[in-house]
Amino acid sequence: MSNDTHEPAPTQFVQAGGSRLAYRRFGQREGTPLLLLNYFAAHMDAWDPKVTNGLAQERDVIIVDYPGIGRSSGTTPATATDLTKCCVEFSRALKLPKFDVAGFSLGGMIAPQLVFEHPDMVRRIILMGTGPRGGEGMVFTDLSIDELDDEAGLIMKAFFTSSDASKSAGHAYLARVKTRIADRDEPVSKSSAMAQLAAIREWGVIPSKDRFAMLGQISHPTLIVHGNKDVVVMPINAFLLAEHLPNAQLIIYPDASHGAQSQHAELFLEHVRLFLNARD
Amino acid sequence: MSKPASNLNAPTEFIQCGKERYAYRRFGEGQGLPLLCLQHFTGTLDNWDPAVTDPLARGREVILFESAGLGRSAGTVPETIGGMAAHARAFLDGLGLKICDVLGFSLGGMVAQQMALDRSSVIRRMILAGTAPRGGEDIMHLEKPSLARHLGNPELKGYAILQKLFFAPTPSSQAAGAAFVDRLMQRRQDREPISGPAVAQAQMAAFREWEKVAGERFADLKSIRHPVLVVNGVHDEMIPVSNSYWLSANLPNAVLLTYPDSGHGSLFQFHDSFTRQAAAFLASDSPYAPY
Repeated sequence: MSNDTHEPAPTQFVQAGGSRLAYRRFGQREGTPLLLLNYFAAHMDAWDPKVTNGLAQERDVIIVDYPGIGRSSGTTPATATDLTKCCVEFSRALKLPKFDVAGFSLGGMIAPQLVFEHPDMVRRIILMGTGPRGGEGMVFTDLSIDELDDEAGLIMKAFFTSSDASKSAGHAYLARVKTRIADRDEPVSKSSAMAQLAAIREWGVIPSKDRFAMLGQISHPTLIVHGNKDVVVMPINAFLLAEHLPNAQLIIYPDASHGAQSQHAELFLEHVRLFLNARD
Repeated sequence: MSKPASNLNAPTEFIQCGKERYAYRRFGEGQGLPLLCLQHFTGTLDNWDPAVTDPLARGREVILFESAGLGRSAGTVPETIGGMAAHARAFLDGLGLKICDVLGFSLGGMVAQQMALDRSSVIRRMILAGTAPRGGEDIMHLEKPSLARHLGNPELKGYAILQKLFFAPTPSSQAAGAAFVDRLMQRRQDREPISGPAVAQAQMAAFREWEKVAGERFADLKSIRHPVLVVNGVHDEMIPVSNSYWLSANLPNAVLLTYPDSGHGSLFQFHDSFTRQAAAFLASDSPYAPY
């Protein structure tokens, strides 16, 4: 089976920190690996193949299911700190050399935490549609896991704007995430989704002091991308990241919501390419 | 062999447009539309960083415009952005240019927005660096302590002040600022006279007028349909980055790019990255800002 692209890449398993984690690895097998950390209530099949395959043209791409998600065993952690621990154990189990990490939404909460705790494990950071600990409007009091019952409806509402261009990008996205036919992941259970929602809400609580102090300690080159109309994680959170991370470049895409990197995939991939290929 | 096109050696030219006589420079060539460059507060043709203009001149003609009352351009400095935009339009008419791309930095970015509103067809794509929309906030308040301490420091003179104002107070940003100043000094001949207090006073009046809003705030931006690239440093003290956020939120078709560890002059500090991004943006034929 080909290991070059997202669709045919076989699901593999590794024992890490008491769980048997499902993962896939595809693309270039040389150079710095790129670990992708997924969003809320999402398994590996939720990654947009246009994005992952674009990345895999030049990168050794690794996607993974958190414990209790998809075909990963174990209980889904209910804090970003515990999710971070799982990701660290996973990267150690794979014996990854220094890697690049790209986190989308929930994954973008884990990525800075991981780099903060283990700065030597990571080379460069990409943050998509995410925000800092204690960001603005990130406790998601309105969000209910019942919304997951209408997955396509939720994606259209949360990832794309109401413009014709964005809606059309949304339909194309929904078609793409179905292009992998065989060896698909198991649906995410409500209990796992609830655990992740708890993790996100805990992350969203504004600390009583030193609100963004952690970010100042992360000197890794960072690329932040966000949609200018993101209704899930408001753009101000990307601004806060860019203003408090000492070495972060921010790019905001127009007419885009939480799925900005899929809607503007060609441009996003070009920006990532420039960023990851820059000299350290 | 002829020297490469550069703001270090391009001769200053003059054009009579009606009653006005403008100084300008044009250099470079390529497939792209000409790029009209609109300058910052009190800046002249000599304030364009060759590390920004010259790479862009490999792919298109770069046209640096000296607005009325600046440098060796005749006339008086208007006290409104609208007045400045009228001069820029007259200049393009004089050159016979019906459409161009625009790079507006700071004050120049305001003039660019006004041109897009007044005569939409004259601009194809627009780069707005270190600037603000009409009704933006904290635009060029030189009296505030973070700026006044440099302007009132008797030990700082000329470009040394610019280095403090345009770059963040970190060793890395200040080093980039020193390199920027070195580059500006490399043009030896055919330089423009430095702007005096009358220029500053009129341009300050224009900033104050630009902060005013009649009607719904940022409503004007909705009608600027052009593809726009907005660029700023996150530690800009002269025109805070929040103004770029408003541009990004309210322009229908803008990509925003911010740089870390940098201030008003982020495009000069990160000139390699900026010119690469700007060239990719300008090279695109897409009707959308993403390029």
